[in-house]
Amino acid sequence: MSEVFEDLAGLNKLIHEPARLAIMTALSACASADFLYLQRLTGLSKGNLSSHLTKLENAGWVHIEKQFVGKKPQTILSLTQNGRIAIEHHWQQLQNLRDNAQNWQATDD
Amino acid sequence: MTHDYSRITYVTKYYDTLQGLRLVPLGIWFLLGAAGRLGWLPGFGSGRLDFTGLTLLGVALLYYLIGQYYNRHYGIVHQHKHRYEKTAGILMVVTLMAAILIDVYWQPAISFFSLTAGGFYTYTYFMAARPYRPYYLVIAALFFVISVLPLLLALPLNHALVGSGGILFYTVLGSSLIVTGILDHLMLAHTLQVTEEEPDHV
Repeated sequence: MSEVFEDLAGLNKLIHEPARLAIMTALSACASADFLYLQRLTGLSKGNLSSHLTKLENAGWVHIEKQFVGKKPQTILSLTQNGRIAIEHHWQQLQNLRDNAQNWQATDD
Repeated sequence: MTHDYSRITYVTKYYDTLQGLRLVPLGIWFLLGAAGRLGWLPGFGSGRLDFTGLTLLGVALLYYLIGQYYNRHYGIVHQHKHRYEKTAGILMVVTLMAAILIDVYWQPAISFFSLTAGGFYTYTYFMAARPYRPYYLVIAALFFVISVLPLLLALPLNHALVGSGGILFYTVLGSSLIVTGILDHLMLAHTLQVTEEEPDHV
């Protein structure tokens, strides 16, 4: 069982935070999304979402592009190649954790 | 925020098709066509090309405007472009048009158009709608039942469906577009939360 807890402790905390996990998961399902969509999805305030996106950008996982549509500013977010690899790896780790935990229950019986 | 990450993936992946309110005007158009064929609304269901063209133009305009509403209210998602999607769309339109021609000119024992519509709803369910939109299977089943109605009622196709102006078919098609449109929109709205704070896209 200690192996399961070690695996749990080994999860990347930058991705594993619920809001950032939601952001990364959403961006992995599309080519790009704008700031408003991610804000609707997460329910976060502008400042809070910006803070999370900055952390992900600093990690090299999210690309932030600011542009103008007419006179209106628009922020487009997308995953970098490293970001796609990171989120795929993270979900795989979670799946492995789940499988290991279920196997532990079976053997304990 | 929903912690259902598979739902997050699903809604993001199918964001464009979940904008169901865009199809409601088209559903209403079909219902008005059925009403016109019953003589309740002059102009609708008359088969006049100019009237049909004008009203469909109105439907297309509403489709665009409602899309703008979704962009402003819920945001924008860009998907990776797949070449097969355009081909599949063209194939669907061609198949539906061929099915209509078969029904109108060949008068088969079952409705090929209804069969095709049921097939497309079934295909959409297995390719894109499950597990969150089971109502697509219900609509598919409805169209399959309608397709065999002429056979079951021992009536020629143009009496059961196409004739009398195709009232039954127009009503079912219009209603299904409205119902699936609203349900798709509710799923989207339930997942994407509108907070009181107004975003400024910074």
